[in-house]
Amino acid sequence: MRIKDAMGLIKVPDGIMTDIEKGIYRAVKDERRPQFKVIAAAAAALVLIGGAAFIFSDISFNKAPVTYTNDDGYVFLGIDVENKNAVVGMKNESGGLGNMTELSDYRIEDAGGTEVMTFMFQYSWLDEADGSVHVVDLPTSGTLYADGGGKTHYELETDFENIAEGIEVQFSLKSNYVGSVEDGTAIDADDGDISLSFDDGGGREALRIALSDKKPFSDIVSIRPSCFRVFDEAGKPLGAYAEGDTAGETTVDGGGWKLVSKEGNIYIDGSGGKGTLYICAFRAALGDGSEVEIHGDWLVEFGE
Amino acid sequence: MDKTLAERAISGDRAAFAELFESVSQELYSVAFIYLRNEEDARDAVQETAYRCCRGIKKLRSAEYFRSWAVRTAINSSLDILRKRRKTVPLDDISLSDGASSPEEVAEAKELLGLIMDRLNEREKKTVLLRHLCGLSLEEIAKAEKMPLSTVKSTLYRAVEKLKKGDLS
Repeated sequence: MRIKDAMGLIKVPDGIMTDIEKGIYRAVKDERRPQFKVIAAAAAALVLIGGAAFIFSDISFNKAPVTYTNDDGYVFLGIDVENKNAVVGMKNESGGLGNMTELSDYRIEDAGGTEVMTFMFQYSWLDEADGSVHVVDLPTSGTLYADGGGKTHYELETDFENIAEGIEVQFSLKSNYVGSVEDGTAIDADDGDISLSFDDGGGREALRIALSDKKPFSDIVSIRPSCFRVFDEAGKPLGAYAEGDTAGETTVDGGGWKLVSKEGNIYIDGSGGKGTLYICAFRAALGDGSEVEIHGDWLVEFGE
Repeated sequence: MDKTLAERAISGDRAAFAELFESVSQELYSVAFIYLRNEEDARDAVQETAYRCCRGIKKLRSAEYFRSWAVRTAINSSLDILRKRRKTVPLDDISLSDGASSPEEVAEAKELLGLIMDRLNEREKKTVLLRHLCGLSLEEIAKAEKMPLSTVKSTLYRAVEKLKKGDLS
């Protein structure tokens, strides 16, 4: 059989035209934006967790963050709700803040449950006129919900009203990705990069949080979970030894599954039973030999 | 492919572009699936391909190149998605249309597609698809991929050998 013929037999799913139309719609929309200019690494969102500031460079819902320019020439690296992208930052091209009304009025509802994770955002931008970096506190929070039925939901809420006088933007996003981390999923935290991956149960990554070592925190040498606990299906903590520094090696035997932390990574390996991994801190080693700790609540359900 | 339709699309006719893109959607989805191996990601890749092609079609020099250009764009979109993945994901089974095919043909197609997905590396996949799906000549592949002709030949030879022998090395 010819390769071309075999390829022609692959069944195209219903709804592919909708995907195509979305792609065309995005292209048309972008073309209508004046002065489109891609700003890459310079724009980043600062994240404050427990007082330590780092750059979250990539918070994505299966899509790369988008960059676009509004009618006033202001460039944003950020949320594209229609395509399930999340805001990671913005850059002001012309000095001063632009009108962010394009981000207003988005609200996608989903059923919630128990809150399992929150984090705060702070936005920064570079004023190219004098090279100064401006930082604006944003009461932004992201929340992961486990709905008790084995599904995990993600919600991002941002209140932009403090960005600049006269600008009031409310933003709320919830995705309906479902599922939990699959067995064997690793939470990698090395080389200056935190990555938490949540699977939607169908093998599709539902949420990824990456902490990059880009400026002004380029001196992060390594980063690893420094505090974690494991709970069984009923919520009972399993072993005090599961809490601690992961520089060494720790193994938690949950019966049907095993959790191993080794050299900064946490691996969940097993075929039976459910559990929950709770990470309360990551520790980052900086180039000057010092260490800082990022506190927060990261909670991952795993198991069948 | 309808050359007139492609020319209209290049001149900025959105409806023509949509119709043109739909005409190659089977190939584009198949290419994306070969790389990404699950429906959701493959659909994302098709959407991204539509976006990129719609943005870039005005720069396409000739209507006759649309199909191979779109396939290359789909490959690149798929590779971008692959690079963004931080972990391996479970794979979907290949879902084939069996309406007009015999069970033997379906089985044969599955086996061949499985070999392509499992045994060829990225460069080999791309070379094989450009040659056997798009029908590009070896010289055209070399030019499009900025590779020496000898590399294209050796890559294609190696890929075909793997498909014949099931050589995993």
